[in-house]
Amino acid sequence: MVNAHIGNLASACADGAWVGGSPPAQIEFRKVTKMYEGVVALRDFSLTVRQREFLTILGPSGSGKTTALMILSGFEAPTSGDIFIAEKSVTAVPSFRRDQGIVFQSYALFPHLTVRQNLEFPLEMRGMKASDRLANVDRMLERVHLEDFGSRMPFQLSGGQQQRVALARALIADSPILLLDEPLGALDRNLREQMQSEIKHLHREFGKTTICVTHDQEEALTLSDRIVVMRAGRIEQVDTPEALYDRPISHFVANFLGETNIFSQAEADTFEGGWPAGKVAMIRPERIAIGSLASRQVDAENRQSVTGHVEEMTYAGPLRKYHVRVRDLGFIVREHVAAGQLVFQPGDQVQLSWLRSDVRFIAE
Amino acid sequence: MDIFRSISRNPLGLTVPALAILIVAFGIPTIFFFFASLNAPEYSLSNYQAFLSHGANVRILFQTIEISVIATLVCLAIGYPTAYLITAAPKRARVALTVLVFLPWLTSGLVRTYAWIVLLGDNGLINRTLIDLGLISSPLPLIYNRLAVYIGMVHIMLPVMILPLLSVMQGIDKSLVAAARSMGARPFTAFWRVFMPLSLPGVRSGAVLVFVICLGFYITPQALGGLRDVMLSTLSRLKSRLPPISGSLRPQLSYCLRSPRQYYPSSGWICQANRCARVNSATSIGLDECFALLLLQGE
Repeated sequence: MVNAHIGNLASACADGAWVGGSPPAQIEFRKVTKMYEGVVALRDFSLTVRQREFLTILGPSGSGKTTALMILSGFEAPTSGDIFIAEKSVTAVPSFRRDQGIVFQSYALFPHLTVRQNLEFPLEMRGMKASDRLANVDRMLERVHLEDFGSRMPFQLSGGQQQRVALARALIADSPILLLDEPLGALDRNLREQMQSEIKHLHREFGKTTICVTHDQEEALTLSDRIVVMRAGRIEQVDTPEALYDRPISHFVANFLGETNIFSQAEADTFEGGWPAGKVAMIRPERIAIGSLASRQVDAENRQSVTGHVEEMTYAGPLRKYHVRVRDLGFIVREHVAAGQLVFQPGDQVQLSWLRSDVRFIAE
Repeated sequence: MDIFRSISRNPLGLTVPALAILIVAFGIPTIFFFFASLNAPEYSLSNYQAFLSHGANVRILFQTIEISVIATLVCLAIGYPTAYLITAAPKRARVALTVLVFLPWLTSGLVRTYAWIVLLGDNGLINRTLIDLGLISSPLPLIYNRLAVYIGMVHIMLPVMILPLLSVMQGIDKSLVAAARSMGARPFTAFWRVFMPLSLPGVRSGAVLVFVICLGFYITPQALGGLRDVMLSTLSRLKSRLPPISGSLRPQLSYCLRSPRQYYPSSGWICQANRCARVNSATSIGLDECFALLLLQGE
């Protein structure tokens, strides 16, 4: 109900705001390095975030993703390098003049102010008249469906409501940039999915250049136009969610984004054909077809198969997951549950097959 | 076992031992004392009337409050920035600074008061140094005046102000100030609109604690102050040879000002009296303060 309403609102002003060509760069990191007491938190970080883009910085803790956000928001100064916003250097600009809306991991709602006063704060800081503030706050409260909650204190709200207030507060001053720091980390699973779509709608509706920092791969895949995968203070790969998932450049990226089968050349001669030196072979579990020996498919030009036996079968709602042993190799296979499907039990002999083009050779 | 369990489930039940000690050692004697003050020689308010009819007594009463208020404000003015600095400091420095603040509590208040005599006296460290350097020819009047009383009281009470401030300030989420700044608040505005209001509970606790303990100060104004800088507890000591009047004075102190030091008329009492003063003041103030007091006792 709520989502449908948002959907209508969003589609009314969705997309198509910029047409043709690549819009001008809005945020640019140029060779930004940050050291903490001799430890490198961020090394030669260069990245261009396009106008209106939703970019997610994804990485395990300690990979430098939060440091990048802190530097962009002006709470930390880079050891070297520059930050440009709308092609102007902001490296020396203090945080309170950077004009960014930030949603903090803890939401950072002012506990001594009501929801309404929280939303008024950024407007007041920008010197807006009280009457204009009132109208703006009313509109924003309605937009996030908290009309009746304006006079509540933050602690009287549920986690999801607090999150919506935090988003509203970050958007209300109409800053061109929105920064999200682990925005959904504190919510439970159902609420998280709901908020994901709400954030997506808000992004389309308001058209802010958005940078989101997270360690949650699902969040990154669903929300982003592009994802930056960080590892130990460096950028590992930047690409669209689909490209990252299908064509990761390294073992690290492949593992970080979803489950995968990875074999080194020493382990497997299963994958015939040219094996590039120093690379490992990767195939996603859902790209492998599983079948009985009776229905055996012949190897074709573009298709390859092996036989093995099922070690374990896990049923997980829409998916069925098999662990299959082929000689020394353990394969993970994922199959969508469908009617009339053969279900294999541990011990069953099966054939696995895949398109040769689905096998990727990636850096170790 | 069941009794223990039901007591431990009820937080009020946990205060029973402390409450029992307070009532027996403190509440009951105070009530007896109050009736004694009315009952000397027969039931009437005459002792109180006698006290209030002396202009000097009333002036001392107000002077006691004035000295305590000013000492509290000075403690706040020094303690708040100190606590803020400690909160903002990196973790290792924070521990070191906190230890520095509480180190003086390892020395008794009496010793610290007399240390100020050594520093401020006409022949003390400060005057001697200035004279030896040729900067002044005769000693500055640093001691036996109101200023010396404030210096001594503030010095003794400062940790009591800083402790509750620290505990509240350290509980304030740092991202709140960051959030305010990201919304365009200048550093001072962010402090004034966000940090300061959230630190007020600490200000309240610290101020109440310091004020209440200051009211009962005896040794510091006595040792560092001039003849004019008399506080109520000094007065009650002076008059304790005249039972009827001091009888009315004592409950008055106890009920109005919550200070029990004058219950201990002989001079070997300071430590004990100090302790009681704190326990007694704790009964009149909130839980925060009690907690802070317990911590202080453990120092």
